[in-house]
Amino acid sequence: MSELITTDVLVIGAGLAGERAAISASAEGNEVVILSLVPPRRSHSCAAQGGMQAALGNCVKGAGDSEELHWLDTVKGSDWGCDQEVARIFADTAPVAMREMAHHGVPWTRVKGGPADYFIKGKKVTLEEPHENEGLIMHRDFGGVSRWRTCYTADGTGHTVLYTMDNMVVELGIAVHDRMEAISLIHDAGRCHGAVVRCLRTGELKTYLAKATVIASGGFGRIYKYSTNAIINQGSGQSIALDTGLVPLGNMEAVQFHPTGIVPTDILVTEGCRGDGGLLLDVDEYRFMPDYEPDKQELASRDVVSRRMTEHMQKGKGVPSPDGEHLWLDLRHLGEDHLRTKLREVYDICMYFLGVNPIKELVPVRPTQHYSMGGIRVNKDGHAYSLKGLWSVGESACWDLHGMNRLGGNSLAETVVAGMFCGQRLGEWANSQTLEVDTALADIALNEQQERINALITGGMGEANENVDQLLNEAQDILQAKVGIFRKGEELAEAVVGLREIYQRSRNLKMRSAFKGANPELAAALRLPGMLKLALCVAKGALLRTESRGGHSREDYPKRNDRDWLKRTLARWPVGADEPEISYEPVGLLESPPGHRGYGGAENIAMEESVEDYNEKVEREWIEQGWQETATPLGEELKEMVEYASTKQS
Amino acid sequence: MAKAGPSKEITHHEGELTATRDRARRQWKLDAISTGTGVFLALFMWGHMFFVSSILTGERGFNWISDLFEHYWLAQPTLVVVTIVFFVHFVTASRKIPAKFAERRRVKKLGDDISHSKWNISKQERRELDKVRPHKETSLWIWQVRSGMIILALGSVHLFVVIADVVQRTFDIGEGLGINAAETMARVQGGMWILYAILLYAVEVHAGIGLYRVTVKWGLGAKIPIIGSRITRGMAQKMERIVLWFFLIIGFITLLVMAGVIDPPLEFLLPPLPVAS
Amino acid sequence: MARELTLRIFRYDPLNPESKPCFVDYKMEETPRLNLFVALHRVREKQAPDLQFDFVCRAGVCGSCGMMINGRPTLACRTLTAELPETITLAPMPAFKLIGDLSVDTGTWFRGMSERVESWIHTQKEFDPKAEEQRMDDGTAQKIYELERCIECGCCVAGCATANIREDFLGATALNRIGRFMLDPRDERDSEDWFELVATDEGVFGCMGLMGCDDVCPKELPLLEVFAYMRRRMSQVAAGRAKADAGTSQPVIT
Repeated sequence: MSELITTDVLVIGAGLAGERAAISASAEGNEVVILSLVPPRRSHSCAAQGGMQAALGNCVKGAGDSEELHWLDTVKGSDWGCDQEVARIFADTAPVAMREMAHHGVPWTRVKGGPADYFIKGKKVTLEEPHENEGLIMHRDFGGVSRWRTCYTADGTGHTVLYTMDNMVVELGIAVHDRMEAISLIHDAGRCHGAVVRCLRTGELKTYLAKATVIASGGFGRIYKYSTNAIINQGSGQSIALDTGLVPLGNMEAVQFHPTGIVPTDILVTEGCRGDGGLLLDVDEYRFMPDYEPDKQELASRDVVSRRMTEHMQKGKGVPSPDGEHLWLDLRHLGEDHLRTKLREVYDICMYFLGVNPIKELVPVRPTQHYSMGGIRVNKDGHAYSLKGLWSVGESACWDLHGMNRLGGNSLAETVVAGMFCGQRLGEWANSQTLEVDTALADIALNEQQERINALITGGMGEANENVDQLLNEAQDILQAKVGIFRKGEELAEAVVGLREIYQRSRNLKMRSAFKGANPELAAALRLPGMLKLALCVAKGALLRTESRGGHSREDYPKRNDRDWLKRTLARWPVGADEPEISYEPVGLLESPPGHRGYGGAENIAMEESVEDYNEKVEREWIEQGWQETATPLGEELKEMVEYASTKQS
Repeated sequence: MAKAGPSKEITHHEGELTATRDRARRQWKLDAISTGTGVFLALFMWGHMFFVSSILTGERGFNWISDLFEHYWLAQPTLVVVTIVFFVHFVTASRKIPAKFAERRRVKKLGDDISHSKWNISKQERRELDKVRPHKETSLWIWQVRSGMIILALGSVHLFVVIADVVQRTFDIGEGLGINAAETMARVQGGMWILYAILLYAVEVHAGIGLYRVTVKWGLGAKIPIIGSRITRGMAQKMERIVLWFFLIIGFITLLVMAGVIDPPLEFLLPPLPVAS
Repeated sequence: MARELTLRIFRYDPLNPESKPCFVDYKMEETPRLNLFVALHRVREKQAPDLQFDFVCRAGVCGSCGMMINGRPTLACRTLTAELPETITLAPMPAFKLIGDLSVDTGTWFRGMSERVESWIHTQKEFDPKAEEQRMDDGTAQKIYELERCIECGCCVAGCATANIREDFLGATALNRIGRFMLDPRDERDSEDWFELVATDEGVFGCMGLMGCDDVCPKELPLLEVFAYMRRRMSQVAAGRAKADAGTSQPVIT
C-alpha cells in the first residue's frame, strides 16, 4: 500500500512564494508540508538578480516615492490589464515585506550618504545621497518606473532572499519534501483535498491530503524553445489545476519577453544592467532606444523595449551571428568596480558562458521568453476560482497585479507579498475547515495515476510510437515561431492547429527505457500533455484576443482596444477535450481608467461604457466565472473606491 | 546554543552543555598544541641550522658555539625541552592523519584528481585561474606526513646521539668531548652523511610546509603589524618558497663541509688558532 | 575539425538490485561552445533516456549540477567541453548519498547542515511592521553578501579530504555559513555560543588544511580566510579573552 500523508496545508513549490505562504500559514497555527521538485534553495527564485520593487523612497532618486506611485506605475505597466485592487494590496504591502526580509537577514545593499556617481540616460551624473538615510535599504532604477524603488542585494537578490526565506522555514521546522512532483490534484464536488505525488528519488506514488492545497510552482517558460527559465519551469502546477476541468487559467496569452537574454545560451542578464546605466546598441554600435522612446529610453517597460528591439532588428539593424540575430548590451562604461561588485553574477555569466568580458566587450543580447503573467486564476485572497481549498501564489497564479505586462522587480516582490498576504488568508481559511481524510478518494486518484504510468511503461493502447523529446521539440518550435513577440492571426491559427495535433499524438507516447524507478523519461512523459495543454491555452488565448495590450502584440490588431478587450481571458480544459474553452471576465474594478502609459506610444480605442457601468458588472460576472468570496469585500482595498462607496451610501 | 527564535526552545541539559563544551575545549587544545609545538620546532630548527652552519666559518666557530652552549647550561635544558616537544608534536599532529589505509588512499586520489585535473589549459582564463588558485596542497600535505615519519625515525636516532654526547660531556662519562666539530665531522664522514642528508631535507620540507599551512590556517586575512597589509595565500606561498630554499641551500653547504667535500667557505672570518687550549 | 568526444559516465541505480556500478561510454560530435548541460541532455535524448542527472537554472547560480568532471568537483552547466580533453569522465560527487547515476542527494544534506548550524538570525527583537528597518552600514552588507553567495552546490564538500572520510564533518560550506552569521550584526549569538560547534574536530579543527574546498569553489568564496578567522576567534574564546560580541559585526574578511 502506498504512503498517505496528511497535513493542514500542502504547498506545492518551495520557491519564494511557496515558502513565504507556508510561513504565514504556519504562523496561523497550521501544520504545513512543502513539496518541491528540487531542493528548495535550487528553486528558480534564486536566479532572480535585479531586485524587488517597494516604495521605500530612501535614495535621492527615490525621494517622494509612495505606495500610490508604485501602484500607478504597476497599473500603467500592466496596460490597464491588471486587477487594480490587487495592485493596491501589493504596493501597500511591499515595503513591509522588504523590511521583514531585512529583519530576517537579507543583506540588502544600503544607502551610503554623500556624493555618488550614476549613469542616467547615458550620462554620468553625481548625486548627493541623503545622509539622514544612511544605512537604509538602497534602490536602483528599473524599467517603467517613476522613481528608483528596486531594493537589491548586488545582483543576487533572489538568491539572498530565497536563502533567508529558507532559513526561516528551517527555523520554524516546516517540512520540505524535496524531489517530489505533484502529478494530479485530488478533488471531489468542487473541493480540493490534496495531491497525488510522485517521488523523483524512487518513482513511487504517494498521496497527500490537506485542508488547503497551495500551488506555487512558478512559470511555464519551458514550453518555449528559447527561455530564460530554469528547466524545471514546465508549468506542472498550472497543468494539474487545468486537469481538474474546473479551475480556469487567466491571461495565458500574456507572455513576457525579457529584452536581455544572452545569445546563444538564453541566460538572463538582469534589467539592473540597464537600470544601472547599461545601453542597447545595434549593429553600427548606435544607441537606438532614444529614437523610439525619447522619455524612458532603455528603461521603458519590458514589453515595449523587447518590441522596439525586435522592430529595430527587422529593419536590418541586428547583428548577424551563427546563433541568429542579436543586439548589443553595452556595460563597458560602468567600470570594473561596478561590474565586479554590483553586477558580479552578470560578469560571471558573460565570462563563463560567452567568454565575453563585459568590462571590455559588448554583450550579445536579444529578447527571450522570461515570464508568464498568466496562471491559475485566483481571487484577491489567492483562492482559486471554482475549486474550494485550492490556492495559488506567485508566478503560477494569476492574482493579477501584472495584467498583460509586468514591470521588472514586481514579480520577485510579488512572491513575498503574495506569500505573506495570501498565506495569511489561506491559513485563516484552513483554520475554519476540518481535515477530511477520505482514503477511498485518495486511492481512486492514486490508482488513476498508477494506471497512467503503467500505460506509458507498457506502451499504452494502439500503435504507440511517439517520442517525448520529439513532441516537445515540435511544440516548442511552433510556439517560438508563431506565438512570439509580434503575433499574427493566421500564424496563431496555424499554431493552434499544430499544437492540437501534437496534443493528440501525445496519447501515443512510447517510452524508450524500461526502468521503472526515478526514470527521467517517465517524468518527462508525465509532464508533456500538461505542457501541451498550456501551450494551447497560450496560443488560443492569443488568437482570440484581437487587440494589442502589454506583452500581447498583434500585427493585425496593433491598437489597444479598451472598448472590447478590457478583459481577462479565462481558459478551462473540460475533461477529455482536445482544446481549451475560452471565456472572459472584466479585469477588475477600475480606480484608474485606461489612459496613456507614457511610453510604447500605440493608439488606443477608447472605452465606450462609463467606468461606473464597468465596475458595476465586475462582481456579478466574476461570480459567474467561479470567483469565491474574499475575506474583505470586493473593492475594500481600493482607496478611491472606498471613498466612492461611502459617499454613495451617505 | 544561544537563544533560538521564538519557535524553538533550548532543550540542552546543563550537564550535556558542559560536556560538549569540554569536548570542544579539548579538541581545540589538541589542535592548538600541535600547531604551537610545530611552530616552536620549526623556529628551533632554524636556530639550530644557524648554529650548525657555524661550521662554515671552520671548526673554531663551531666549537666555540657548542662549548658556549654546554658550558653555560644552555644546551642541556634545551635538549630536554626539544625532545619532549618533539614527541608531543608527533602525538598531537598525527591525530590528523587518517587512521585507515583506505582513507589515506582516498585523500591521495582526491588530491591527484583535483590537482592534475586533466583539464585543457589552453584557455587563457583557465590559465589565469590556475595561477591564482593552484592545487598542490594535497601532495604537499602528503609529503608533510611522509617527511614527518622520516623525521620521527631519523630524528630519534639523531636525538639519541646528541643526548649521548651531551650527557657524556656534562657528567664526564667516558671519553666524550660533547658536541665538537672534529667528532661530528668524523661521524658524518664515517657514513652518517646519508642519514643527515635525508634528515635535513625532510626537516626543511616538513617545517616549510608546516609553517605555510599554519599561516594559511591561522593567519589568512590577519593584519601584519607595521606593514598594515593583510596576509594572503599567495604571500604565504612565496614566503614558504623563499624560506625553504634558503635553509636547504645553507643546510646542504653545511653538510658538504661536514662531509669534508669542500672547505669551510667562511673560514677567513675565523682562521684556526695554532694551538687548541 | 570537430572532435569526437567520449563521455564516460558513471551509471548505477542503487534501487535496482540488478544494477552494478560501472562507467559507460557515450560518443558525440563536439559542436561550438558545447557545454556539459547541453552535452548531457543530448546523451539523454539520443542514447540513454533513463540517464539521471540534475540541472535547474543552467546558468551557474542554483548549484544543482555539481559533479566530478575528470575528477574535479565543479558545476557542469558552465563547463565548456572545449576546456576538456576528448575523453570526459563524469562521476557523481562523493560524500553525498547517491540517488542514481550522476544525481546525488544534496537537499537532505544541506537541510541537515542548516539545522545543525541553526542557519537563521537569532534575535530577541520582534519584527515591527511599522518601524523603519534596522540600519546597516553598506560595507557590512557587502561583506555579508560576499559569504552569502554560497550556492550550496556541494563542490567544497566533495573536494574536501576530511569530509570524504568523516561523515560528521561540518564542511567548508557550513563553516562559511557560520562565518556569515558571525558577521551579521542582527544575529545575537556571540563567539561563546559558537564555540562548541566550531571549535571541534567536526568543526574547524577537523580541517586538515588541504584547501581542496577553496580550490574548487565555483563562487570563489574566501573560505580559507573565514576558517583562519574562526581559528583565531575560537582560540580567544578558549583563552577567555573574547569580548562579548553578540549583535556586532566581526571583521571576518576584508
